[in-house]
Amino acid sequence: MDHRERTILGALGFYLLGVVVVVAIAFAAAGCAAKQYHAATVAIVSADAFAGLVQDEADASICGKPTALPAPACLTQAQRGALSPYLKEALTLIIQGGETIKTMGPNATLWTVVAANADRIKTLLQQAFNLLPKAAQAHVTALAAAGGK
Amino acid sequence: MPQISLPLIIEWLGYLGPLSAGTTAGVAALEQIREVLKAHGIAADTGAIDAALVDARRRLAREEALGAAGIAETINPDPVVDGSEG
Repeated sequence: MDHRERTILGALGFYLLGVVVVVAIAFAAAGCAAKQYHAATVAIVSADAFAGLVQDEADASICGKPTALPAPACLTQAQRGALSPYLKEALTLIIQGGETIKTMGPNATLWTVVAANADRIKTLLQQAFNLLPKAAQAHVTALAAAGGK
Repeated sequence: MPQISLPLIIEWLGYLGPLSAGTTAGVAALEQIREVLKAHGIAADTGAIDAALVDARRRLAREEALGAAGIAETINPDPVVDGSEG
């Protein structure tokens, strides 16, 4: 490699580094409020997706349904009923969280407001998930890991 | 992080020329990049949250119907086949 080639490569490398720095500065400058908006959105959208997986799996696991495994790997109607209050509260809080995000918009305190709800939603969904049969839990886990249905 | 799409990258690249032109143009271009990123990120987030709200309301209604009508009727509405027929 001669001097001229090294100079061209050096200039190109400097230019590319410049592009990376500019993009990084732009992301940082995108602002705390926008980041909080994004973090809150991801929390609520993910929670809704997981609640959906648990609900669909619970409904499909009712004993006697073609989609359910034989007892004891299925949910009795009483067990499905026991799971319902957790899902109802979680979904209600998800809706409240979504409405809060829409009302507040990009705001520097948004995440603080949504985080309290997000913790409670996580606990409720964990409780609902724990009431599923083991095989159904494994199915939900696999679907969640794959990013949904 | 906002979703990074090809049109967005092309849009950024359009600002790189002015960035290298001088301080005033560079600052203005940086400000434009900031606004573009915010607009793209916030637009994507707004769409996602709207979709989640629709889904969550539908699922809550399903859960409430389950409590009101009883699980058997709501989850498994197929009529019980009477073995005496046929």
